Amino acid sequence: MEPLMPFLKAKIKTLNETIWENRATDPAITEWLDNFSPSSGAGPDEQMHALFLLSNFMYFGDREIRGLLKALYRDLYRYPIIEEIRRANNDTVDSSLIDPLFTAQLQATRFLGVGNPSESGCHLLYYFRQENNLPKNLFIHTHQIFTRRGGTDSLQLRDTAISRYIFIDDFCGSGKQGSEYSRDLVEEIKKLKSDASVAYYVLFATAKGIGKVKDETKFDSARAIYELDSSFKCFSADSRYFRNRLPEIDQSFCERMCRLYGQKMVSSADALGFEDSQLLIGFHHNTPDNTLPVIWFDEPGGVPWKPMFRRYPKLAW
Amino acid sequence: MKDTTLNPFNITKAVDFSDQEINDYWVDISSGDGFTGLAKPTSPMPMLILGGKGSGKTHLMRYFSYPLQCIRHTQDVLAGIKHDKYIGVYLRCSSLNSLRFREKGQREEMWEEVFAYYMELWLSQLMLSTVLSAVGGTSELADREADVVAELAALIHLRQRPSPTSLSGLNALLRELQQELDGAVNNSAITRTLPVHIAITRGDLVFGIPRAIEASLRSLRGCLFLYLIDEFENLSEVQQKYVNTLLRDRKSPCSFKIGARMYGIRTLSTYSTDEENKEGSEFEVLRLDAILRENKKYEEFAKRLIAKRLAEFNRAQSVPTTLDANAKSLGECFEEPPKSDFSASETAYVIDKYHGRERPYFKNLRQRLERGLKWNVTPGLRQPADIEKVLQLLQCPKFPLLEKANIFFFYQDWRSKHNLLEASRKIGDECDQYVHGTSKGSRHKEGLLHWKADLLAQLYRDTDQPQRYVGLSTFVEISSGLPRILLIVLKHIFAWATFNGEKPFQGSPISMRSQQTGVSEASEWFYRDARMIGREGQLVMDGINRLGTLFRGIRFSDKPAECSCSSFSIDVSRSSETTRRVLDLAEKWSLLIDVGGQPDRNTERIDRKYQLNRMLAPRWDLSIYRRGALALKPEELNAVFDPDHVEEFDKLSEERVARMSAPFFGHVPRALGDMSGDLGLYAEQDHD
Repeated sequence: MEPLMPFLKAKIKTLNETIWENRATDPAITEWLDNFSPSSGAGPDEQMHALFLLSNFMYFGDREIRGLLKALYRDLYRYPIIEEIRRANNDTVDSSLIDPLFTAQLQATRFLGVGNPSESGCHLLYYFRQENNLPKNLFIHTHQIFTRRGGTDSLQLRDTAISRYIFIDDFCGSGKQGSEYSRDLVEEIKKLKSDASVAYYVLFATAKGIGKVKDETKFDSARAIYELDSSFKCFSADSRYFRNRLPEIDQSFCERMCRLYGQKMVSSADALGFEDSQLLIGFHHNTPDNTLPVIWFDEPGGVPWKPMFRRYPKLAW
Repeated sequence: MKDTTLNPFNITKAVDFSDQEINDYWVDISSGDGFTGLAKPTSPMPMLILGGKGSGKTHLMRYFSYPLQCIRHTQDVLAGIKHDKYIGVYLRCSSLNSLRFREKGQREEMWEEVFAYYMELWLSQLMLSTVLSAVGGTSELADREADVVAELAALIHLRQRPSPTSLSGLNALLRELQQELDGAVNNSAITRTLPVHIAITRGDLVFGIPRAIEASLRSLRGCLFLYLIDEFENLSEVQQKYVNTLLRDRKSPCSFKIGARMYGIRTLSTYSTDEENKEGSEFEVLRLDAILRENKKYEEFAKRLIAKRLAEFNRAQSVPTTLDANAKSLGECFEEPPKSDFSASETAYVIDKYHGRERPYFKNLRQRLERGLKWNVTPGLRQPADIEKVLQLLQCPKFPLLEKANIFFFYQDWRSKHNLLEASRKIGDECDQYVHGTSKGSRHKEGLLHWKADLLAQLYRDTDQPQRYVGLSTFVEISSGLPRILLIVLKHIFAWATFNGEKPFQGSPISMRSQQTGVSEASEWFYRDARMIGREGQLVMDGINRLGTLFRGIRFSDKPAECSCSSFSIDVSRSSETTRRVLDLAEKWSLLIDVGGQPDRNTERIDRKYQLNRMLAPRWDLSIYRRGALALKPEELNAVFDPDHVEEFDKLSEERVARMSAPFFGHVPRALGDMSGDLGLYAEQDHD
C-alpha cells in the first residue's frame, strides 16, 4: 500500500494548485506541521494526523465565493420572486410581463450586510453587487432603515415603499447573530410594517445554526446556499472525514490532539471551534472561528502558533 | 489567465494551441533539413506520418498548414507560398464525428457513398476557403475567376440550383449541400431513411479545384496543394478505405500527409478493385518517434524545446532571455548528485544512517550465508566464524557502492561454486587496490562500468531511499522520442518545485526531491493515460504489469543476469497468436518500444527486441537505459502476455529470480522443496 504521508502531500498539492489559491506551499505546511510533535516512532503520529485534517480542509477561494454570491441572488432571491409572479399570472412565461414586475420588486428591495461595516457580511456586499449587476441604491446600512419621527424618539421606516429587506452574511454557525439581528431590527421593522418581508440569507450555515434562525426569530425566511449537516462536524459520530478508515488515522486520537492544542489557544468550550463547531472550512477573505483553531490560530498575546489558514480576529478595544 | 503563465509546461497537446502559439512554440531539429526534410511538404508522394501519442504529429502538420504559412510570411503571403512551393490545408478527422456514418437501418455500402460524398464536400470547401484567403481580391483572380468557376461548376450536378458565378458562391453552394447532407445523416436515426442526392463524383472537386486553380493562376503555379489529414485513427476501416483511394488515385498538383497513431491505420485497402496501397509505391512513411529517438540531435532538439517554453514563459514575466543561452545552460537548472570517486557523495548518507549498526546489505548477506551454511552450500565455509570473516573482508566502510560491488562479485563467485573464504579475500584485496589506484584492469573497474547503475539502485532500495531519476539528460532519455513525454515530466517537476517553495529555472537548481516526485507522478500519469479500454486493453496492461514485475525481480536479485534490465528479445513467430496480437498492441500504444533485432546467442536466428517504455521505468524502479536484454523463450513470453498461460507466470518468474538468488541459485536441496536441479524453462538463460 502507498505510504500515507506522500499521498496526503500529493492530494494537498493538487488542492493547492486548483482550489487553495496557492496558499499552502510545502514550506508553509512544514512550518505549520512543526507546531505538532514529530513522530516518535511509537504510537500515533501527530503530524500525520494534522496533515490528514489539512487534506480534508474545504477552502472557498475568490472565484468560488463570487460564484456562491451569484447563486445566492439567483436561487434565494430572484427565482422565488419570479415564481410568485408567474403563479399570480397563470404561470406565464412571457418575459415582457415578468421582467417589469420583477424590476418593480427589486426596486422595492434593500440589501444589507450583517455585522459591523468592517466585517465580512458587509465586505461581501461589494462583490454581491458586482456579480449580480445591481445598482448601488439597492444597498443600505442598517441605520438607513429607520428615521426619527420629527422631534421625537420614536422610529419610523425611512422609506415606506420598501417591501423587502434582505440581510446577507457569509456564515451562520450558531445562529446567535441572526437572533440578535431579529431582536434589534426585524422586530422593529415588523412593528412598523407588518407585511414587509425580511430575509436572512447566508452562503454557508450549519444545519443547527440556520434552524435556530428559522425557528426562533422573526425573519420571514432564513436560508443558506451551502448547508453543513452534522457530517461536517469533524469528530462527530457520522463525520464524513473519517469514513474511509485508514489504518494510520485514529479519529479519537485526532480529536484529543486538536482539543489539547485548542485548549491552549481559546477557552475549553471553544477548543474545537466556536461553541464546539468542529468545522474544517475557510474562505478567501477569512477563516471562521467555527473551524478548528489548530488551523487558524494566530492571535496576539496567545500561545505561539503558526497558522495554516490564518483567521483575522475581530479585535475589540 | 493563460495556463502557461503559471507553469510553462502546462500545455502539452498541440491541439490546444492557437495558430500563433503553434508558430511561437515551434522548434526545428538541427539535423539535415530539419522537420521539413523529414516531412517533405513539397513531395507529391503521399506520406503517412505515424507516431505514438505526443510524438509531435499535430504540431508538425499544423506547422505546414496555410494559417501558419500566413504567420511565417506576414509581409507577402503569396510570395511566401510560392517560395514554400506548397499550400497546406489541415483538417482533423475527430471534428468529423465520423461515427454518424453508420447503421441507423441503412446498408453499409450506402454509408460508404454518403461518407465519401461528405468528405468530398468538406475537403473541397477547406481547399476553396484556403485558396480564396490566399488569392481573394487579387486582379489575377478577378480575371480568371469566371472560367475557373465555370470549370468547377460543371463537375457538380446542380439540378434546379443556379450555377455559382464566383468562388465564394461556389463555396456557399458546397456549404449548402453539406448542410443538407448533415440534416439527412443526423435525422436518419429517426426517419430511418437517407434521402441523399450525390451531386459530385468522388475526387472530382478534391483534385479538380487545385488543378483548375494551379492552371489558371500564375501566383500559385508550381505549388503543391497539400491535404494534411490528421487523427486518421478516428476513421473506421471503410472510411479509411475512401481516403486510401484518394491517395491511390492522387492527381497533380495534389498530395496528402496523413497523421495517425501507430495503431491508427486500420487498412491499406482501396476501392480500386480492393487493391492495397503499398509503402514505397503509393505512399511513404515517416515514423516520427522512432526517427526522433534514433536522431543524434534529439537531445539538442529537446533542450531547445524546453528553452523555447521558458523563453515564452519569461517573456510573460518580463525576464529577457535567449533561446540558445537557455538551451545550453538548462542542465544547470536541475540538481544532480555531486560527482565523486566511487559515488562517495551520493552514498555518504549510508555512513550516517547506519552508524553503529550493520548495513542492510551485509545483514542480507549474513542471512543468506547462515542459511547456506545450514544447507551446506557455502564452499569453503565451515562455521559461523567464517561468515564473520567473509563479511569483514567484503567491507569498505567509506565507500558503500564498493561494498555493494564486493557483495555482487561475491555472489557471482558463490554461484560459480568458488571457495567463498578465498573469494572474499581476493575481492577485498582487489577492492583495496582499486581504491588506491594500484590495480590494473581490475574486476571492480570493469564491473562498475556495467553494473554501477544497478548497484546504486539496489543500494537505494536496501537503505529505503527513493530511486533517483534526476537530471535533464535522464528526462530526455525517458521521453524516448516523444516530446510530449518530456513536457509532461517537466510539467510535474515544475509544479512540485513550486509547491516545495522553489523558484524553478530562476537561480537555484530544482531540488532532487522535486525532480523525483515529479518524475514519479508523471510516470503514474503515463501508466493511467496509456490504459486502453476493453478486453484487449486489459490484456495489454496485465502483460505490461507482469513484464515490469519480472524486470524488477531481476534487477533487485542478488546476482542479476542482465544489467539495466528493461528489454527482452524474443523469437515472436514461435509465440502464441494471442501473445503476438497483444505484443503488437503494446507496441502500437507505445508501451513497448521496438528496438530492433538481436542475434540469439545459441542460433543464427535474429530475434525481435523490445524495451519497456522508459516512462514506465519509475513505476517498477527500473533503469531508463538499455543495456542487456533478457532472452525470453516463447513459452515465457506467453506466460507474460497470453491469458491462457498466465497461471504459469508466478512460478516461472519466481524460478527465474531464484536462479539469481543466494544461497541456492535455483538449485534447492531436495529436503527443502520439490524443486531440484535445473529449473525448467529458464534454465541456462542467465549470463554472467
